[in-house]
Amino acid sequence: MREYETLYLLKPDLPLDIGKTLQDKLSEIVKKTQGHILSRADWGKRRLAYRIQKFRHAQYLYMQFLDAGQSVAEIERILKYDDRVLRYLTVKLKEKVNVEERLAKPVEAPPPPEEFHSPEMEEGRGGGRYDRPRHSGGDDGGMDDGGYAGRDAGDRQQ
Amino acid sequence: MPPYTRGRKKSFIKRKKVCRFSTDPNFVLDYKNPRVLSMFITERGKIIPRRITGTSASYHRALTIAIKRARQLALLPYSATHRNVD
Repeated sequence: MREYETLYLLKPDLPLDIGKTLQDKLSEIVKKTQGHILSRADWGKRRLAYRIQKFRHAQYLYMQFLDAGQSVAEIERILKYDDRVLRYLTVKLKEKVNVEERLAKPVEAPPPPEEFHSPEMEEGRGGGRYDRPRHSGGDDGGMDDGGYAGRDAGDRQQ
Repeated sequence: MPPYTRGRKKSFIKRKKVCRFSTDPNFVLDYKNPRVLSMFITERGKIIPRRITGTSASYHRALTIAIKRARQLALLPYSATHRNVD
């Protein structure tokens, strides 16, 4: 068995219980293909780092499971053709998992991470489209340590 | 040795750079953790080269993958400017 985790994003304008329904549907698939659900989590609506299909927020759903070989393809197929799903990503966490040992261990779903806020995004929230020049000289965003100007900054001067 | 060159050369303080992932056990590398990853990208969202951050080669390879995964899931921006594209 292999251990996987899937994180996927739902459109924010859906009824609240859609997330749970979809999680149940995916769990059903895992069980049907002799897999095991380790943990599930709903991170709720979060602000996206960039807009997807004009949405600024999305509901994040997480699932960790053991797969005997068929469930990942089926899960990804469902997420791919469901247009309520904005993004999905399945990552293999471990190859060759001993099922009994793994199920005996307590599994905790990872807590939702903090949202990413860059200072530029904060400042840009109120500003319009043309609130700053597209290219601000050769300076490609100051760095905390060392003032790395970016590789192309040097190229531009030549 | 001419005495006047001593200590008069262009001097800079060489700071010892260490890989933060291999030294600090609290520093967990995970694509689901944008707070840690955001320390390794510029304000524009580019990945900072490891000659600047001092991350070890193996961790830097893992780091780039983690950052790219985080970008796919909109946990990190691809670029700071795409907020302007309405």
